[in-house]
Amino acid sequence: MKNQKSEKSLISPFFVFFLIQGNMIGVGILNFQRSLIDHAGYNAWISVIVGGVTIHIILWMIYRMFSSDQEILDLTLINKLCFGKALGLLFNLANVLYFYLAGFIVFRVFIEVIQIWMFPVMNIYPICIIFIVIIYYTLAGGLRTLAGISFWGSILPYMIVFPLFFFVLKYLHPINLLPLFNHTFKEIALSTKSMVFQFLGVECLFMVYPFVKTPDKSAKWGHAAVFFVTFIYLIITLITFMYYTEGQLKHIIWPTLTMLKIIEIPIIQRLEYIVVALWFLKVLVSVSISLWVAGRVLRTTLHTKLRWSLLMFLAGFLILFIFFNDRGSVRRLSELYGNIGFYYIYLYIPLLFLITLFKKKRKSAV
Amino acid sequence: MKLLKTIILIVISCNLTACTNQKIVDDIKIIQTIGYDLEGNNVKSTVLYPSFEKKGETNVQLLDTKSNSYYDIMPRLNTKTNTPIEYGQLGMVLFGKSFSEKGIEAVIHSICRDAQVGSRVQLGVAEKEAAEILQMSMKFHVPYYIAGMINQNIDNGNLPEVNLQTFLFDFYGEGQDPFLPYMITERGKIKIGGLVLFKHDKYKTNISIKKAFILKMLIENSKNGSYLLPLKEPRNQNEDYILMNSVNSRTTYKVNEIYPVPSIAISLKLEAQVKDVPDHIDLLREEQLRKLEKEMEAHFVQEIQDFITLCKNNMVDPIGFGDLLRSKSKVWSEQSFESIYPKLKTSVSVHIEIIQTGVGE
Repeated sequence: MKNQKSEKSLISPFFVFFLIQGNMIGVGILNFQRSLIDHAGYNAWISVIVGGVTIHIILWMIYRMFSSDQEILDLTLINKLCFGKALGLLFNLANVLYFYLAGFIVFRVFIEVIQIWMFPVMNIYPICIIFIVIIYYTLAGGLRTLAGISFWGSILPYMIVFPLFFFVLKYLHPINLLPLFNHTFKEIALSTKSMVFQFLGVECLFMVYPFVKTPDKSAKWGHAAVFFVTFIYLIITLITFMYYTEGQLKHIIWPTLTMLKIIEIPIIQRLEYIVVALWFLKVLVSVSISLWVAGRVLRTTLHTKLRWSLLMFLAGFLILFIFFNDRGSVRRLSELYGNIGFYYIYLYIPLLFLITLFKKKRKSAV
Repeated sequence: MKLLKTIILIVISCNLTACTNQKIVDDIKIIQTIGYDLEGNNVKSTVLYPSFEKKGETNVQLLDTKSNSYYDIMPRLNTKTNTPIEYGQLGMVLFGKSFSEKGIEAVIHSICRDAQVGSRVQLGVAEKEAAEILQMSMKFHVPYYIAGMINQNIDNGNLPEVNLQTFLFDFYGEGQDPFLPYMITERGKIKIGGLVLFKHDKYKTNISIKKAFILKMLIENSKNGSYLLPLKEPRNQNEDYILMNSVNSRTTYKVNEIYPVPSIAISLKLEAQVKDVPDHIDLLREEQLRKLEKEMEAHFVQEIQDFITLCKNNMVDPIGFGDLLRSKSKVWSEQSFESIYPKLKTSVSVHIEIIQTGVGE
């Protein structure tokens, strides 16, 4: 299948990997362990694998939807096809809100990390504004700039941050992971539910797909991205479980960052500050992709100009900031988003999949 | 438009210098050591910070304050200084004995929550008053003197790996109890007197530095530790000891039984270096060497059993037998383990290999 869009605005299938994993790994990786162990305790690493496998299935559904019907180009058209014109419009607008919320939460939580770890007493608005200007710069360039940023914004932090965990190896106690299966199936399922929040972001493919040069060839890159993300989360989970005892982990709010406090190298005594600064790039990628998708959905439904919707979105960030200015409200908002995301992934996408499948069957019957 | 873009770019890049929230080294007091003591119902805290007056010279200064709660110690200390106090470079927290007998959980909890404090901070318990030890360390004019002593002894001596992270690990973890270095004074000098064993957050008992080596062998590689062994059949009085250095060691645990009474087999493999032995033992002769190894093995089996008995009598579990049993059974609770702990059966086997005996005869 060849794409009808002009060659200039297209990306090679290879970038699907960086866009999907760029949107999936955001700020949650710094503290997901806490909520993960709520139900399944130290068996929860199984939940990470289970979660990853289900996301593979969801991704497969998305690819099937696109390849099943030549008319389907992006999410807005799927909505229109499945729910009709009026209801489809409603769903499209809900999607704009959903992706916008995703971007805002990652943005807000990372600002909180900066507040807690780096500048506890500083006025946070200047940082927000700089952040917003950089997001605007990234998005103004279109998807190709975004793909480039998501390449470097992932490679650079990963190259520096992940090797750091080798320094922690000395302090690991593998015995923490035993006994292997002392939690029920239900507890593991509940932990998987809390893990889904970390896997959200795979749905950005809905809007990225039409921009891929040879979209059907990008499936392997998409699955590679999901596999990569699952693998990274699994490794971080296992290291965290071996580093902290279960009782200790319940007292630590940012386990991944606290873990890095043990590393001491000459000149730089505390590496977590560097990691927070570097992670800015990663968060920039995650926020930008979510906003781009929101802007894209808005554009195809209401034909607004991307530039203006972007400015509106970013101004909205500053306004939302006033309402979510403390820890409790941010946490409630992320919980709400996590719940919506859970149904988005496990209810909405399969529903779309079934309807398109059904319609196609009927079409071929006629 | 181009001009506007340039101006915006310059304004934004000015932000990158991040000239806000500055903390210049000369204008703050960097606390490196804190000591907490109990005085009546009040907490007395003593802090050490370096002052750099002349180039190449460091002076260590002391500040102290009293309060009913230890939470407001920083603001109270602040009223005594001309520059702000920062504790991001904290290297050592020392507790007085009476303070640690009352429990140190509140302090530990607050340190654990603080993003500024590193995980390699050393904790310790003083024989009498923490303030006394801190005062004594001032005359060395070296920042982090006490923390340096502990770190040095972890690397080259008998102390097992210990710092804030290992303490929190044992403290919050189920089925193991924490331990901390024990700082004592001897003729006006500070000395590491061994380890303090904690029950939860309270001082329970202290063990000598020699016993600390036994614990080190049981929980990790005892590399570089040294141990003075008494000989069974001394020929004359001055010659009844041999000095052994640990080159490498490994302890493996095997749980033979969990119910009703747990039984654990401990097997220790130790590679040792023996340099100083009495004249009548000739280490170049194979059978004498084997005999010495056998004698050392018997000694360590006894010492390890004694150490475990000591732990059982005090109801502390620094070795982590509880954690070991937890990992082997699906239903495990700290309470039921504590009731069974005094009855816990252990069998010890030690295998020692003398791999180096020095260069002279």
